[in-house]
Amino acid sequence: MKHTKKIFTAVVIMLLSINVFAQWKIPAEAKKQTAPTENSVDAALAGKLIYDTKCKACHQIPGATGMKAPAPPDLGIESFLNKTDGEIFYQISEGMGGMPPFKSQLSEEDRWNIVHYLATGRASCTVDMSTALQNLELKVEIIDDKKQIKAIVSGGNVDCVKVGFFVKRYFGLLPIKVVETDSSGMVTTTFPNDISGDKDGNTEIVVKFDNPDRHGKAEVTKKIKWATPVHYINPLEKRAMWGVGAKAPLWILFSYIGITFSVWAVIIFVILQILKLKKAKNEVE
Amino acid sequence: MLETKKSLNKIVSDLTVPIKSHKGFIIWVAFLLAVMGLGFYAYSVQLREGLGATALTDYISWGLYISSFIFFVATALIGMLVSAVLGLTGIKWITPIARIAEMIAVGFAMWAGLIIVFDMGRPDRLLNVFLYARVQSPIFWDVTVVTTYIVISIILFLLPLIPDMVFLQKTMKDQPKWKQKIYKMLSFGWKGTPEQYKIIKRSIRLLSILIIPVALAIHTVTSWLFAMTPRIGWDSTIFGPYYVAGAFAAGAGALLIVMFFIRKSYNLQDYITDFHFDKIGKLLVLTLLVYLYFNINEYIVPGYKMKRGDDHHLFALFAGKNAILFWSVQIFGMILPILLLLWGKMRKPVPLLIISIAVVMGAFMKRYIITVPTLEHPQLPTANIPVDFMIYWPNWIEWSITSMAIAGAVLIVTILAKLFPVMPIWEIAHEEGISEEEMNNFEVE
Ligand code: HEC
Repeated sequence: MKHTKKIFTAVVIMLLSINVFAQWKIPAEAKKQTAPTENSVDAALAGKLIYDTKCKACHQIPGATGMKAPAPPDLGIESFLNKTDGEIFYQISEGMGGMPPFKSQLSEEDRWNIVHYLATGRASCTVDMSTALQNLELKVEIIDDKKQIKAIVSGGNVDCVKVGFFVKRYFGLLPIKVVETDSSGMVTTTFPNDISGDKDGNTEIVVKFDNPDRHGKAEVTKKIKWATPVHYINPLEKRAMWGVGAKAPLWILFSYIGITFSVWAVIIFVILQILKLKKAKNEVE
Repeated sequence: MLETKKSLNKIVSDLTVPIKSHKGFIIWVAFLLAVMGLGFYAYSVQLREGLGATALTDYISWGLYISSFIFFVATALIGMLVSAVLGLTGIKWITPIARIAEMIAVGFAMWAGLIIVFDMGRPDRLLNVFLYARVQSPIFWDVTVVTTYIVISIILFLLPLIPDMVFLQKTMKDQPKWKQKIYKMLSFGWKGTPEQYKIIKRSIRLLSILIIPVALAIHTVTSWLFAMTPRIGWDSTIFGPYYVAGAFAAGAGALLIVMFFIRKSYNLQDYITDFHFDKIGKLLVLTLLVYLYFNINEYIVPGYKMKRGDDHHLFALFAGKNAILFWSVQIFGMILPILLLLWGKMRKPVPLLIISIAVVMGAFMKRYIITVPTLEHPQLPTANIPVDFMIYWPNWIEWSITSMAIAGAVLIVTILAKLFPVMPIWEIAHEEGISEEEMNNFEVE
């Protein structure tokens, strides 16, 4: 009995300390606050970019799980979207429990843009982000002698398009640079010289738009030959104790074969002798 | 050394009568088969459920099976010690027991190989051992050398049997056809010509020499399965000779036990005399003394330094959780037998039988002491593992399968001793001064 009480108290204290029972306390004037800017495609897309880098890891894409609990909740469900913009803005700014406050990390504009982005989930919202999608085309040229990569964007408004350059590694894409196109839709970047390739300096680069919601999902992969060659010494390649059977050290191979062969030669000799016994009988008779 | 001269007819009949009729044989074989049946059932469970059915775990992956394997290999070495080492030095009194030693070698070496298969979770992949063999691996050397030893032991068992087959063919006319067929086949057309004698003697001599390095290799390599790893308790440079010395002691003990029962149930008191027991008893105490010497080295050298890691292991053995088993083995399996055997009265058949049983049981548990406690001290840092992963005690499946192996080895010895004379008739007759001429003209009276 004594123990049960103790355990119960401990659990209660523990739960309280992680604020499971805590509630959002949103001041009335914060609820009434409205955005200084109108919602627009640009604002929502700007908000989405921030959301994807700062919030998605915890909240996932709005509407993906549809669940209010366990925290962190889905930010695309109706019960959430019924909140006023001011309420959401306050929650993002101040945080609570497992939800970090973002007011010192993100500018007010950024935070409002996130609110605008989340607001596109409301049925009443007329902002349609997909109208911004241009589906531009992307071509990539490798300029071997200058160790440069040139991206050519076409098929729409090609000025100031952010193009991302990546290198393929074992477990994903390593970002190298994000560069904006000039007015003709071209961007040229010099490959950094500390990217390792295979032993001949081969590796693969990937080029795609930094903002796929605006510019499209085009993605180009190219091989380049001028990464830093890396001479990886595979310890399994030479003859060694730890190698596979075919890579056995010669001394051990010859000792084994030599000894086994000699012993079995004697055994076979004796067996042949036994078989000769019958003949030996005939010779004398 | 046999007091009165025996006639050839008496020798042949003394040694062949047990083959014909022998009360208790059926009961004994039925008992062995029953034990094996239980093991067979246990193995079927293990086959179905995998090694998870045993008490083995990720950490203690070598348990009773591997301990038994070393014990079996050890016991099998006696064939080499008696027929080769003593035989080549020209010692005559080994003639009546050499074949018994060889039977033990064949039986135990064969089951040693099988035990390795029992320790495999997927025996259906046995062939992979050869298909993906690595000459660098002591396990592969072990497979090679065990196979070689089995073959040599079988040939060394069969060779001195060839001249005896003629006596059997002549006396076994009333026996079942299949038996007579075996005798005829194994006689390889023996007629006792000088040429044939020359071939047989030369072959025996050649193999007796060959089996010495092979037998040393089989047990040294078995010890290397352990000593070639840097694990505490196994990382020792004297493991090879340490194992070989222990093997001779275990083998001599096993030989004494088998000698005792064969002599008693086959009424061979005139052939295996107190003299032989005294001699083998001396051999046992000699091997035990050598083994004691290796034990002192094996434990005092690391025990004096108590290096980090070693200290845990040695403490567990000397005063910790393995202490009772460790000291029982050292005292009852080695020190006490040595003290008793130095005393002539103790080298009589009955006391020797009891001492030998203690030595053999000690040898069996000693292999366990070498294998398991080391694994109970994993070298990698461990965290959050179940407590029972650190403790091992074999479960019924392992005990049953191990019992099957022991019964199986004894069964092989029993069958060989039942099918063939337990001593080479021709060599005994030769020592009695009976000429080859007389042997060739042997007729049943
Ligand atoms: C470390 C994980 C984490 C990150 C990153 C995070 N959140 Fe949260 N968020 C939470 C948790 C947990 C809650 C639930 C808090 C509670 O109710 O106890 C929450 C709650 C919220 C709520 C209130 C939901 C409701 O139903 O009332 C909003 C709005 C919100 N987060 C927006 C954001 C935005 C926008 C970002 C990115 C700028 C973000 N969060 C980043 C964990 C996170």
